[in-house]
Amino acid sequence: MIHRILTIVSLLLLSLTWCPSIAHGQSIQPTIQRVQQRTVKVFGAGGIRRLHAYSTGFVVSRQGHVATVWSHVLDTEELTVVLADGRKVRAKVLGAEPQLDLAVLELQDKELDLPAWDLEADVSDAGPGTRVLGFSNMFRVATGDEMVSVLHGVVAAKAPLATRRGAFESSYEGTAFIVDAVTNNPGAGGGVLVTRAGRLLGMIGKELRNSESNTWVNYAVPISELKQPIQQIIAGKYRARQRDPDETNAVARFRPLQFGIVLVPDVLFRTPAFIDGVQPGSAAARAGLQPDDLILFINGDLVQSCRVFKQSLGRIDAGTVLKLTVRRGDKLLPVELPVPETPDTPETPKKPEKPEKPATAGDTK
Amino acid sequence: MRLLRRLLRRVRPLADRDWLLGSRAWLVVLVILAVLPRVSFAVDPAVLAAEAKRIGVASRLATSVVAIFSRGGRGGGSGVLISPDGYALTNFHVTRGAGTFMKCGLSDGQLYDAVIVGIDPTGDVALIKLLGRDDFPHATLGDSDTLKVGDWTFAMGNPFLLATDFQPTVTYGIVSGLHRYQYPAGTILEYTDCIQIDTSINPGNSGGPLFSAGGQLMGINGRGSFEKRGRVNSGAGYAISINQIKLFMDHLRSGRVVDHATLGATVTTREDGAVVVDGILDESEAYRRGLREGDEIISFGGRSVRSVNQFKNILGIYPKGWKLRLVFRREQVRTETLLRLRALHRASELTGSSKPKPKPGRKPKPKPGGKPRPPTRKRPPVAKPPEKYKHLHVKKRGFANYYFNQQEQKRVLSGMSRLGDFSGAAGAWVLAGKTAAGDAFRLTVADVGVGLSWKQKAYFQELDKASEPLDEPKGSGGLLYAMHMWRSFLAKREKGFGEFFYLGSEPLDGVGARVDVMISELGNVRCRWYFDRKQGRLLGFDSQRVEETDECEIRFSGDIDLDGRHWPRTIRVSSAGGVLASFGVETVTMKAGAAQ
Amino acid sequence: MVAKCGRGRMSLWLTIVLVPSVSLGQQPAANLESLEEQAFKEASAVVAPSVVRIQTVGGLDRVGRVLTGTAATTGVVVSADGYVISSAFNFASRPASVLVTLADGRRFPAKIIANDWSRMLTLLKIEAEGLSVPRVAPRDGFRVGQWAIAMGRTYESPLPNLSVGIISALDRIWGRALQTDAKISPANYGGPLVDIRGQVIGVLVPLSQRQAGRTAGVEWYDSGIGFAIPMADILGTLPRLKTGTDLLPGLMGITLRAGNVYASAAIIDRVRFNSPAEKAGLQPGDVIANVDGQPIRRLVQVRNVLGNKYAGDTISVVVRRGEESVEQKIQLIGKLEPYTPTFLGILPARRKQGEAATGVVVRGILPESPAAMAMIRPGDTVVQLDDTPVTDSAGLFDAISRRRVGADVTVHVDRNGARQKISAKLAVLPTQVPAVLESQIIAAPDPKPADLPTIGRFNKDLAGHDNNFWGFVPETYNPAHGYGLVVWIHPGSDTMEADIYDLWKPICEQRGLILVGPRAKELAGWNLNEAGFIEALVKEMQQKYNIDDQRIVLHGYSNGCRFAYHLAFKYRTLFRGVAASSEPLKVTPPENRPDLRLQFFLSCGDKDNLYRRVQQTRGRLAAMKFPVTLSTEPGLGHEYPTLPVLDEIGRWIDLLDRI
Repeated sequence: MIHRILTIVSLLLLSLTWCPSIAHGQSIQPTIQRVQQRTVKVFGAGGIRRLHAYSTGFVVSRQGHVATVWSHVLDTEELTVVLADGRKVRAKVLGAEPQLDLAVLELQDKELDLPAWDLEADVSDAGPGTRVLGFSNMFRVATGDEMVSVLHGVVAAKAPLATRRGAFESSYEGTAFIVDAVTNNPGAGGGVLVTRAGRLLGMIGKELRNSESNTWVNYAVPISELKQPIQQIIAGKYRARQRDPDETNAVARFRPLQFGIVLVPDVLFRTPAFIDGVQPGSAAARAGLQPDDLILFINGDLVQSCRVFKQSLGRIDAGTVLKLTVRRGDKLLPVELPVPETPDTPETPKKPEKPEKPATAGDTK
Repeated sequence: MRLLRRLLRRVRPLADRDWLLGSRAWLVVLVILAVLPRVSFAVDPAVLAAEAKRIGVASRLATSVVAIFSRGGRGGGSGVLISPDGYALTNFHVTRGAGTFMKCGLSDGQLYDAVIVGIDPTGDVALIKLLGRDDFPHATLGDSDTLKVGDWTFAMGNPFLLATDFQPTVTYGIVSGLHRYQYPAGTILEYTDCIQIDTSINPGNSGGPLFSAGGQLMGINGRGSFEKRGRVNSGAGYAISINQIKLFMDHLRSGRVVDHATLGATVTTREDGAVVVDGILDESEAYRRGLREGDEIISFGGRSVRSVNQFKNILGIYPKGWKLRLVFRREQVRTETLLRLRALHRASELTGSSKPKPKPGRKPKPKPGGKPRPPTRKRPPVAKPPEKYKHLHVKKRGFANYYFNQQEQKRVLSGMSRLGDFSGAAGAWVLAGKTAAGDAFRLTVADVGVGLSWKQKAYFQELDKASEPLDEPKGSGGLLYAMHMWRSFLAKREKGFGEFFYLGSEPLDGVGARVDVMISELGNVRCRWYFDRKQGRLLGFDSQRVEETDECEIRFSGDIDLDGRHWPRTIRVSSAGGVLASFGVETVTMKAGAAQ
Repeated sequence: MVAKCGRGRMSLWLTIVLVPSVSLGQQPAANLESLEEQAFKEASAVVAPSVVRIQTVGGLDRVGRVLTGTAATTGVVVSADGYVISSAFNFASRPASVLVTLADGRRFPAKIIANDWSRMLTLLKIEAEGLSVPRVAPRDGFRVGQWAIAMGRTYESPLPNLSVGIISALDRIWGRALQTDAKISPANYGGPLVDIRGQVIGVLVPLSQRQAGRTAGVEWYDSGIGFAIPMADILGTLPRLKTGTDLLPGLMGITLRAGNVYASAAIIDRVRFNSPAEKAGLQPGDVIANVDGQPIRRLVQVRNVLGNKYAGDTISVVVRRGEESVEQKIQLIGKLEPYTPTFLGILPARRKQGEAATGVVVRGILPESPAAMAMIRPGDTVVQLDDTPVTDSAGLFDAISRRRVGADVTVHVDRNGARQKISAKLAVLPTQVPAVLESQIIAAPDPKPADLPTIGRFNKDLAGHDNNFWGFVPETYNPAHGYGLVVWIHPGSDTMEADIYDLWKPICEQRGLILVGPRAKELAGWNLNEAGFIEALVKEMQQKYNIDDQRIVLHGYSNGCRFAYHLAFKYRTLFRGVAASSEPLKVTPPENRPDLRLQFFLSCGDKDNLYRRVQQTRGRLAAMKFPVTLSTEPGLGHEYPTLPVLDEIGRWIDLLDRI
């Protein structure tokens, strides 16, 4: 019986730690050579205001299509790609997907028959602890036929980069490989992250700061996310994605008072979302919320401050259910409040709450 | 199965109000792991064995790592011992703040005095000598050309001066790139042909060793791409290759301020990727051998040249004065020649005030405080030399520590005695015989002058105060004057010259075995004396009458024993890349009085 | 059921569970690199259940210059009943609420139980049972070069995040931590560092050997320089932390003579008054030879040994004093209390030259002082304090100074012939200046001695210095009496001589003071290296005139005070007081010491822009327990004080020698 459980468990575990263990070569030299041949140096715009004028790319078609990061470097007519063997080739941007920080370049020399990545066969997946190599021309160390830099490390995590509170100043918001090597340096964007067996995992993204921990993040966008756009761009039938509206118009539609919640004065940078008062007969009152309850979660997201709470309220949809978790004393209590059908509109009598701007001491009672 | 169902039931309510949504499967695993007793599991023996091996190597290597302290312990860097008598390598930019004597800590917990030996400001290398032991643990030099990208390496040193107990910081990473060129950043300091690593090095690692996984010394860590986060590692560090340092080693032991080299020509990449000359000094030897603007560089120093960086990399690893083979092409005509590299800097630039920019190991200068400024803000003076070691440092212009040059001179010249005593050999020396071509010759070397009769011609070089060194016979680079230099050296040794010092070692004529090199200067005439490294035999010398002219290259072979004095049997003379003649000596006579 | 299943079986199963790609990979022989990769994953999976996610709500946005993040951080379960250890960094923002999420997803509010301010750890408690406690790696098993896997639980993923490196060094940061080159950052601060066998080596924290504080060392994140506090040590201190008391680094109260920390011997420069070191009888000049059995040859070794000692720990110290060597047991404390000046409450009669030193005649008694309570009377002569005879006021002053506040003393006085024992309880030296204060009248000498030094107003040069100075000596100067000395430090670009002379002449005559006004080399202002001149000037005055060492004060106005402060702190043996007008103190004041008493009189107008800063200065000095008086002039801007305040300064100077 226990055996059965464990077998199931093992299968479950498998689902995550599983990565095709091909090519148990004794040396990683073949891997390094193989990847180097498929990695190019991109030179373009920049050079001013400490903006680097170079980045990295990887070859995705024998005819000479190169995938790289969508950045200021590409913003020029004079785009040059230096191949692994040192040949200089002119290139132009064939298409881009800003939401994925992805761009595909087309090399102007049609004759080249380049070693290229096969986005079907060469791609793999990995979980925490999987050993990886990062290839890029960070700091523009390599020129001509010199090989780009190789870094070693492990996958630290496979997790979403962005939370709805915009922890990361990135346009890419999907799941990413976060690595424990310092891969994301100036010019490294567009490089590749591969397993030691030489399987392609992801494209190294542009430099990124995590605004929640104030640290630089090292990550790569999984190829699984990029494969389709790349292929479609090459095929010339790609539509750039629409930003999902909920993200773009983050105007507050609901306000605490509509639920009968009065928050404490928001005086600090990070005032905890303590409930100062509950309006009698309000949804909050019916749900049993009390003064001094601390609102910790809104629909599963941590609420770090009054401001975050107000912003989150702004995003909920009319007619749904608002799930809060509050701390009362040493207990966590889940509560649910119905969300009114009609969002707050400018016409409604002016309430002292001003969710858009950081509220000030005057905004309660 | 019931247990699993119970588990799942326990999981469900959590999953609903939780970021683990959707990965309920995972919860099962984690819950199970959570309820498991603390488990130990079998780590593959191969993994443990490899770990044990690495631990062993690391602890062995750590004993050779030096923590160098300067400015009363407020600054410093790292180094590595390379010989039992205490010679250690570090960065020039580590020692320059530390003065001629410094304190060094080893992993045995002991503090040792050390003295500066030689410096290479351009290559950012310094040789120091730890004192007080002749059995120092030391690293073994490896061959950095065997490194491959992806190889594991150890970096060891004293980042952020953390080693308050002198135990080095050991980091482990891979080679990220090879033959890297790092531009001089507002200084004469330039990293050529260096090793790029992702092994973590930080300020304070400077001068410390880079080891291969096997424990061989592969380089000296000195620099990093720190710009992103300001003096903190950001994934790219650079080490000076040990192979470059090997080429400089004897030069450094000479106690000099050593210089790097230039060809006297600059190169650029043509559209088609070829590397071509885009500027050349008319007075350079390269020019005299026929190199011109527009010529394509095929290979240099035996390495083919495919990029400007590569050219700089090749040039950068050799000391000035080495002879390198250059192959260049002009309209399909391929020319191959052997060139002596010129000095990269003027002496003043090296010894002078040009400062390397802040780098690992150098703490930023304290900012001048607002007025009024407390005197305490001033940089503390470098420590006074310890009494018992004062004698180990001798000041001399152009030298980091002339004491060590004196030692090397003694060593090299010790072999000379076996040539016999020429000091009494006044009067004229007459050497006569036939050249390899069969022409008779008679060479007379006397105080008043040097004469040569050869192929029915007579050549003469006067030797009174007024007389200039002549290019006699024409195209010989001044054979007659060279013979005079030879005589003074045999008879008077160093006393025969204005300047006389040990240079280091180099391959004889750029291709042969390594030989010790001494330099003599008399007026404008500069001679390079070559000695075999085993017995210290004088193998020959090059004599240059005037700067920027072709040398007269003399090579001795064979031996004639004439009442206790040893004379060469053949004297080969060449200049400007061609052999003039090879004089076979048959008779040597010494007579008082002047030559005719 | 699980229980029935034996440990061996379990581990066998777990191996199968955890090594899928080996058991199921196509290739039979995996190479070392991938075997190691498997081992990383196994080791972390074994510890994962004990690694928890920590989220905080509310709190500051920055601590010092460091922005505090709002990101999730990590902790490690240290007991099944809900204790979790984490890095103090994770709570630098002093959050209003802390939330712990277990590996299985369950969430709990957490209490902060206690902090370890030496190893920068924080202990949390959640109300949960049966938590999974990780296995701990034995402390003596650590080896430089062994695998070190750093774990955190900061990303929105069911699995912990990993970074793999090796152990770089042991006993770093004064022996508190071991060092790793795994990438350590807010992504895993508070998380475990795990060995290849899945045992916890330590807990990850930012540290720096140069600074203290929760955020020290953060600037090195991800640089390959990371630190972990050995779990074995943490378990050692856990019981103390569980009691809810913070652990502080242990101090003994000595300053070592400056030098090359790696080369110079550890010579005691100063011993803090009332510190453990002083109680143990350590003395300046002692050479520390051994601490806790560790031989000491260099300055730095003292910190290496003391670095991981806590307040309350007792250490043994061996010092060499001349030939002999002394061993002492010393119990360390967490905070060195600054010296608080003590006070009996008598104004000593100032002895004339030639008078025999037979005791201290009481000139006056300060109201509400211990002396007043104890009924000591003017005219009494203090001849003995406790068992030590008293000859002169300096001696009594020193004896009282070295007693602690609240100490009971027995004062033996001669009252018209009869000896009396009076007991008093010493108080804190008061700082308010009485509105009225009798000054000891000094009569002009009669007859006038022939060899009187310069009196009245004068200008002079000082031999060997290119600065010069002016001064005023009361016409009635009587060399038999000790005079106070006021050193006027003029502000930049204005010596104010005329005004100062007019204002101070009467005060000097009333209070028996001599005034000197050194002039800065450049009118623009004082340069700190002119301090030598001032010292020489004071010495010169002491030599030429009868100066009372207890009443040598510096008086400055506006930016002149900066120099005055500098001089007061530089020449502690010379100056007893600083009267600073309209200028805050910009440097940190030194330690207050019984043997080098120093008192402050601050004055400022309440309309002066600097008024608030001057008030803060009072606070800073008071915090160091310096006696400091602040006199505020209503309605006055940034101007030199008016007569009433100057009179007060006069009285303050006259009080400097009170005991």
